[in-house]
Amino acid sequence: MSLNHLEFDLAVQELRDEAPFPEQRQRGLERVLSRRRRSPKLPLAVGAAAVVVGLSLLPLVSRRGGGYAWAEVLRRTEGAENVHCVTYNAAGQPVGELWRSGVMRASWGRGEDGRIRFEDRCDKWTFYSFVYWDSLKGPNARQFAWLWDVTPQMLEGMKRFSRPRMVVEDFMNTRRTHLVRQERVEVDGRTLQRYVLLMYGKDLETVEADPGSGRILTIRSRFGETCRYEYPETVDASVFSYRSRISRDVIVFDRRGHPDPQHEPPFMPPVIQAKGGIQLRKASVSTDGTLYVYWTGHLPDKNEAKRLRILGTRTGRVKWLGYYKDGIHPVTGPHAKRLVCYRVELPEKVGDKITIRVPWGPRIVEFRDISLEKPQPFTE
Amino acid sequence: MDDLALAAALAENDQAAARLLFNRYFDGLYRFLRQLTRHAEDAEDLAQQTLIRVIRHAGRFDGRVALRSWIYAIAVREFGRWQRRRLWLPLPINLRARGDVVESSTNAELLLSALAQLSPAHRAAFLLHHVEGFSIEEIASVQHAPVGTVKSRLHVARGHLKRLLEQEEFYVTEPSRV
Repeated sequence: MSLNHLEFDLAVQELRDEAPFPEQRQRGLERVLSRRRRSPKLPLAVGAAAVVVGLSLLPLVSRRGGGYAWAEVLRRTEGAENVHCVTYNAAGQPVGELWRSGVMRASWGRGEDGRIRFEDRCDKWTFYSFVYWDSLKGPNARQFAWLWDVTPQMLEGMKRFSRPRMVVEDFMNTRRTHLVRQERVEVDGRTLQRYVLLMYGKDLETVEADPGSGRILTIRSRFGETCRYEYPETVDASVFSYRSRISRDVIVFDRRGHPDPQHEPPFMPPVIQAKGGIQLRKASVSTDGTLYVYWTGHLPDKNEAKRLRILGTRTGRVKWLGYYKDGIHPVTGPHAKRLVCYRVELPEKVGDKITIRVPWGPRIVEFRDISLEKPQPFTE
Repeated sequence: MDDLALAAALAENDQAAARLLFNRYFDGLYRFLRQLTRHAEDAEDLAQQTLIRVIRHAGRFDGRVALRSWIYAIAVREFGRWQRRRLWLPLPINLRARGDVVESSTNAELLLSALAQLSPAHRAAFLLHHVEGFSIEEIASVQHAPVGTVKSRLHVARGHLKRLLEQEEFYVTEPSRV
């Protein structure tokens, strides 16, 4: 049969003329008036046959949760407060882990080099985030993490993206996902319901779920990654602690209760010592291991800068000498404009105190035994 | 009875208004959904469900669009739900009901077979325009899409049919998925 025999106008007219059969109208009217939607009645014999065939095939045919009513699957899934998921790469090495217990969530991921690259933990109120930086390797450098208040926007994002896929239905919430096939399989002596899903029109994922509870047990991607799910009765509370499990000396910057950086006043530390027209305001070691010294009163020029000295530790390359620039908001006001920042590398471990000599013309203004501010370990 | 009055009566749970609604829209909805799903029983079910939803939510109708557009927008959403639900219901037996065309033997079914190769959005736009007689603006409000998008969908659908008509042989096959 060929379509080129099709008469388009005639075909459209045939479509327009289509109407329900009288019995369909009658059934429809009854249900609409009674506001009760039911499946159309099948002829009795066919219906009875369908019931018999359907019952006989019930163990083989899965509806969402492997034979359970969907409401039952949801109820069981909601009952599973604790979820533990480990992701393995194609070589079978664990590359990520996720824990969830109620509102709390913790995860980590490993980079291609095998090193753990990130950790995060959160609940409804606090978000902990740690990323391992290769660049933080100097003798004074410290890896660091952040603690933030969870904002409504973050909470919304977490609701959308942090939900582990515990039931196959979750996959269907992703765009362009289609069920290719499903079957009952035996894996290591255990009966599982296997779903093959085509995601985004190109990625095949195989999901195996417990036919009894509907819970996902494994997800395999076409790239060889496998996620294995467990549903433990209890989870150790330390899993959700705001401490890095990767490195003990990780510094945690606690930003909880701080205003939005956009709304903070320009950076201007208080005066520590004032001498010879210079007000020393701050000396600190940053997480990247460099020394920062801040003062107001005078910015040494190029020649004066050659005589600027830090005593009490060996210094390396000067990374900055100039007015402090804030990358977040424009520095306004006379004080902010005059804040001088001196940043220098520290090639060896620095002590707790240093002496600073700031040249001003022929003079040298010396600030002795200045305490260094260092990132402090976080105490919960 | 105009649209707003009908919606107000439906919101008041008026049985006569429900009957009027059914008489006005059931045939068209059934036709549209049957041609969209190519399944008579499901189309009947979806048409019923659409009208039940219309009655339940009639109080929300504000008259910004025509009642017909509003009802067909609900039908399109019901069709979307049917598509998603259908993926999870691999029925072991495929019972065909009266009204299903097993062999594509008519011009209309040939046309539907050709349209089945298009996406549901393109197919719905084509059926609404050419069969149900919706204007492009009305289709835009049904599909919640810009007018330009609707025009594009119609253009794509027509182009697809034109290409098929130019082919020497067009094998009518059942769509792999609707």
